[in-house]
Amino acid sequence: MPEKIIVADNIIKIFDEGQPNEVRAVQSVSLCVFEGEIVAFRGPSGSGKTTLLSLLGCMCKPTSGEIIVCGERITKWSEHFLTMFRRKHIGFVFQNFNLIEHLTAYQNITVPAIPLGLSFHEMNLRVHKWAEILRVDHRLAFPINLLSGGEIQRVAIARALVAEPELIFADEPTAHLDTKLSNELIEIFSNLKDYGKTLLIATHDPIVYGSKIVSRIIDFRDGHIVESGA
Amino acid sequence: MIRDSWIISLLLSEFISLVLIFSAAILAIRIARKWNISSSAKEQLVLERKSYLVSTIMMYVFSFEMVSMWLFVIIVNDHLPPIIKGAMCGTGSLNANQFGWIVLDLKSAEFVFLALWLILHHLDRKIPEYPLTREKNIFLLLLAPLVCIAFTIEALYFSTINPNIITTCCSITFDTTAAGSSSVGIFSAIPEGIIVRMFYGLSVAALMTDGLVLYSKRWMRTTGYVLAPITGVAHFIIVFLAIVHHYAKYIYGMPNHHCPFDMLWKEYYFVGYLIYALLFLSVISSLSICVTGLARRKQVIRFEATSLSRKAAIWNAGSTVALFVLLVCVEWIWNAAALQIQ
Amino acid sequence: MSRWINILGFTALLLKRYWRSTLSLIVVYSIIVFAFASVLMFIQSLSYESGIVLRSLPDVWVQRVIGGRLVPIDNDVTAGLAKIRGVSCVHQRVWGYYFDEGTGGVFTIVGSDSIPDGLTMLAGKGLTSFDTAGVAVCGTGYLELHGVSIGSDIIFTDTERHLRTLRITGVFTSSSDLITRDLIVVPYGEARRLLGIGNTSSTDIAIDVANPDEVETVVRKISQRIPNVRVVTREQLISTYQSLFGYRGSLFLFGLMISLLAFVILAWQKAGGLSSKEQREIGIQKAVGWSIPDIMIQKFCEGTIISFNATLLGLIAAYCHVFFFGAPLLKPFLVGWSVVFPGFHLLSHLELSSIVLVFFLSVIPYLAATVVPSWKAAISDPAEIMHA
Repeated sequence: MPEKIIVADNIIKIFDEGQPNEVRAVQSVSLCVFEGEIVAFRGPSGSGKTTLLSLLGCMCKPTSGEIIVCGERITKWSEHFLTMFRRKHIGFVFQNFNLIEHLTAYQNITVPAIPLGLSFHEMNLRVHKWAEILRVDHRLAFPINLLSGGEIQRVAIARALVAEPELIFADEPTAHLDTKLSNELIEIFSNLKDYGKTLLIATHDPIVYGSKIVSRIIDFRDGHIVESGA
Repeated sequence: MIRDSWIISLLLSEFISLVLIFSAAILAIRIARKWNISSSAKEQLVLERKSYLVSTIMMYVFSFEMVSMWLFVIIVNDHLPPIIKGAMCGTGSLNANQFGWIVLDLKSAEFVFLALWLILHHLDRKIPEYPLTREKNIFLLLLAPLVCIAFTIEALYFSTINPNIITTCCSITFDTTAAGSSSVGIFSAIPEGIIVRMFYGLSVAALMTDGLVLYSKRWMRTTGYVLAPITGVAHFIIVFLAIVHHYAKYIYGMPNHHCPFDMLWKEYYFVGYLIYALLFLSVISSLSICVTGLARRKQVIRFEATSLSRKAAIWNAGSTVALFVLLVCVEWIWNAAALQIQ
Repeated sequence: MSRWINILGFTALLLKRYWRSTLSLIVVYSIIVFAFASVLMFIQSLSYESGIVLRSLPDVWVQRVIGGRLVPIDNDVTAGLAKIRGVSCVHQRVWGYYFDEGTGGVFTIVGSDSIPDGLTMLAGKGLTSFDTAGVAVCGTGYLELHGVSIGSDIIFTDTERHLRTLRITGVFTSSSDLITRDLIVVPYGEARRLLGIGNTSSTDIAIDVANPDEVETVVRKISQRIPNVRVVTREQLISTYQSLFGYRGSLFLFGLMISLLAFVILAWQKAGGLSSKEQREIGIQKAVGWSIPDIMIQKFCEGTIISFNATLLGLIAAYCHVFFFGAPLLKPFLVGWSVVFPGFHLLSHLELSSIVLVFFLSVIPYLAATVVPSWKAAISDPAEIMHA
């Protein structure tokens, strides 16, 4: 029986509380994610799925509610501890991939590993390991602006994996990709599951949430979960 | 005297430290008042971020103060003596007016308290809830005026030095037959033999206190936390006096040479740096036993505070023993060499 | 430690990327360091050199002062001075200043029956003593101003407007120019005639003390026993020169403070005024797990690399400026002026503590100026990247 890796209990996130521009981005959301699952958060823009991803991904704190990630109650933690926890346990793949243009693929992949205090040898090993798995090892010395769309995608994923996190969060990863690259991405995510990773993907792309690799879809609207199913 | 390049440089860097710490103090007021780690309000996030700025400023100030303390010693020991009549080393420079020794005392205290703040900060950062943030910032609010006073007295010291007024050097200041007017000279009335015995006694007392802290029984540990600052400060003062009145002459090979500063020179293999580094390590570790002992009262940080207090006790024991061995060996080696010559 | 090394490596990478702005900052920074370091090195070298030169002076000299002006001292004071316990040697000195009307130069005339101690650099005939009257040994200043050389005759006017002809039999070489540039050494008799000092008096009386620790005691005794005299010690003169050099240096330093302040403001703006690219990059770093302390370490490394490199560059430039090129930008302001100016070559003397002082004065203000801007850069919200 897989363990619960994420538990969210009645979390609420309100931006600018008490101000005229108050926004209730997430409202009374409760969910749990099991180890090894690939969960898709589905919903239109502004439904709160990105905010939820930020909350579960230790990027910000909820206004109320409880979040447990990898067995740790993170809700009352300071920003610093959230960051320290996130960089070890959670890897992020962003919508625009957000790679640093003037650095090479190798240098981009090492960015999350630098503050971990790993030795150069260890960092090098990890970079090459994930680059090989993701088939970008032959392009490590190239700057980002010389890589193809697919290669950029894989470098971004390798960067999310270099710290060996248990969780991978992807926010609209196929937003700027064509069908071929989207399918390649799905294949990569499928491989990651074989490495014991748990994936949470925020998306409104049917290629993603309609694929066989997704074990569960959670539907969002106006900050609420409206439906959750396999 | 304040027109000298070296002195201007020193005062400038001290002024920078002062501006930094007062900026940190202004932030500390707000943090101490409004801090609430359970809150997810934006204000708490802002306070957490400002707390980083405060801690970074304090690290900078500590580093700057460490370097400026060294520069201060260089100025009073190397740069001023040729200019001030009668001054042959730092002792003479500090005796040039009533502020000299007070500056040294204040700078030493400032250095120790800055180190203690950083230790408290290090402890606070071990727990996600940052349970000591309020106490840390209140401590900072007490430190800032000390830094200000130290800077003011230092500026007064340098600006009121009259190079034409003859000052007294170490052989008179530390003469045990006549108490001097400096804060150190006052202790000169204590006979040398008693100072040495007090040195032995307080070294043993410091080690016993460390033993109490390391012991597992609760009441013994508590006793250790209370005794540590007392033995630590007393040990610091007595060791300094013992160095000046007794061990200095073995370091210099001259019976009337009591200067606490000349041992920082190349001729004496810079042994003064080792001695004073161990001395400051000893007093800082003993005071941090007390600080961590107080922090243990918060349940959430009890384990971390106990662990840190044990580490401090080990450091204190190590530095006390090292200092004892170093000084006693200097005397022993000298006596052994003298016997051989005879 | 690994963390710091990794971040340092990453910082160097980023600085290489933005090398133009980094380089321009380093250049401006190093100019300020160069200015201060040049002053410091110049003054230190001058102090060191004057210290060497002044060591050859007597321990004490006694002068008669009337109405604040120096007047010749009676020679019969010598006997009384010699009797003071601790005094090892007493000798009368005849010296003074000679205004050369033709050139406007002021020369120092020293009467001696041999070449004065400490002046070992000579060119010309072997000159262990003056054989006859009517000879002179000159420094390069007189020779250059009058266009004469060894063997030439030179004419002086004494106090009674009589012309005195002296033959140059030796020259002090230019390596001792600091003390010999304007010096003319002549026999005692000639000196007395040229300066108008009678046989029963001298300009001052020099005293050597057997035990250097007793100088102050001897000075006190002289002051008590002999009225209307001024007693000057060598140590007083050395400390006066050092104070003077320190004072002149600090004048420059005060002026440099304004440049330093302007630079600190520039540093603050540079550190805080991040381009949108830089802001985005920091945002990405935060999003992938860099904490605020990590970013601040990065910024600290950046500041340290810039300030250390700029300081090193400034120091090297200052060293070359002062010791290879003779400090042309500073000398006119720091050594005063004269018609007879020594073209002295500054001795290369640099103490470690001075290098540390320069680093101290340049690195600390820069790092302090970049604390708050670094923090502001570090507190960017990682969640914003998610929504970008």
